[in-house]
Amino acid sequence: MPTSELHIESSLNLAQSSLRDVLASRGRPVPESLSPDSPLLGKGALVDSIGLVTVIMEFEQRLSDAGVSVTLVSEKAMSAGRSPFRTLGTLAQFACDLAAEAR
Amino acid sequence: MPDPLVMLITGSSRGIGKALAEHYLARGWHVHGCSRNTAEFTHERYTHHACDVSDEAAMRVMMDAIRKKHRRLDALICNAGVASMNHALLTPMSTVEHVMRTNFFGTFLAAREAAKLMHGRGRIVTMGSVAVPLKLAGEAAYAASKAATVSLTQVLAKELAPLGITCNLVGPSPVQTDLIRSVPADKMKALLDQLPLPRLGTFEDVANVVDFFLKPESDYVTGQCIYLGGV
Repeated sequence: MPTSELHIESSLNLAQSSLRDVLASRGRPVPESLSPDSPLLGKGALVDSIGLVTVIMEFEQRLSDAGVSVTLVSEKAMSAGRSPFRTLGTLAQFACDLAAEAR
Repeated sequence: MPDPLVMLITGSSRGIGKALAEHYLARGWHVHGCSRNTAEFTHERYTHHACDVSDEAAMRVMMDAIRKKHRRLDALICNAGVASMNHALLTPMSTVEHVMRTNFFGTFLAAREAAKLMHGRGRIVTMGSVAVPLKLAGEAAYAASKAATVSLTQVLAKELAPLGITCNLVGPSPVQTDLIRSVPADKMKALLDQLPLPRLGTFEDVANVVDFFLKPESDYVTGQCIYLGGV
C-alpha cells in the first residue's frame, strides 16, 4: 500500500489528538497541554497499559486516514532497547521513521 | 432507524460461512465477508473481499476498507478453515503449514485487526471443532490447529475484556460441507458414533450458538467453548 510523507509536526498532532480522545473516552483527566515529553510509559504515564494499547491503535488508524499506512506494533518496536512508545514525541517520531522506510 | 450492525465473516464464500452470512443478512446486519474466491451470492448489505486470511497485508487492507466505510465493527466470526484428514505419518509438512496458516494464523490476524475496530464493545466468535475434545485419529494437523484456536480464544478473552470485547468459540460436530466431502462413509459413521447426539450438525445448530454469543445479554460471557453434539 503506498504511504504518504509524514512530517513530525503532523505526526505529533495526530498522536496528541489520539491520546486526548482516548483519555476522554476512558473518563481520565485530559491535561490542558501536551508536549512531546508527555510520558506514555513508566513513571507519570498518562495512560495505563490498556490505555496505551488503545492510543497506539487509535494513532495507527488516524495515520491510515491521513494516507500513512504503517504498523506501529512490530518486532522492531518490541525489541528496541528503548521503547518507541515512551512519550508522545518518541511515538510520533517512530511513526515518521516507519513511514520513511515504507516509502 | 439505527444503522445496521456490522459483521465480518471470514471464509464466507461457501459452507458454514456462507450460511452464517445469509443468516445475519436476513436479520438486518451489514455483512462483510472474505475468501480467496469470489462469493456465490450477492446482497445489498453484503460486501465481499477477495483475500487470504493468512496474508497480513491483505487483511489490513480489508479492515481499512471496513473502517473507512462504517467506522466500526460490531462482530467478527472467524470461520475460515481448511481440513486435512490423513495419518500423521502420511502428512507432508506443506499440509501442516497450510492448515496452521489458515486455521490459526488466520484467526489470530482477523481477531487482532478486528478488535482495533471495535470501540468499547464487540463480539469475536472463533471456530473450533469436536476434533479437539474427541482427539480424533487421522486429524493431527487439523485438531492441533483448532486446539491452538481454543487457547487463542481464551487468552484473547482476557486481553480484550478491558476493551469491552468478548471472545468465544463454537465447536461444530461434522456439518455437511466441502470440508468433509472426501471423508469415507464408514469413517464418518465411526466419528458420529462417538457423539452423544450421533448425527451431522446443521448450519442452524451452528448459528444458534453464534446467536447466543452475539446477543447483547451475553456481554458477561467470554472465553467459553461450546461444542455441538454433546461432546
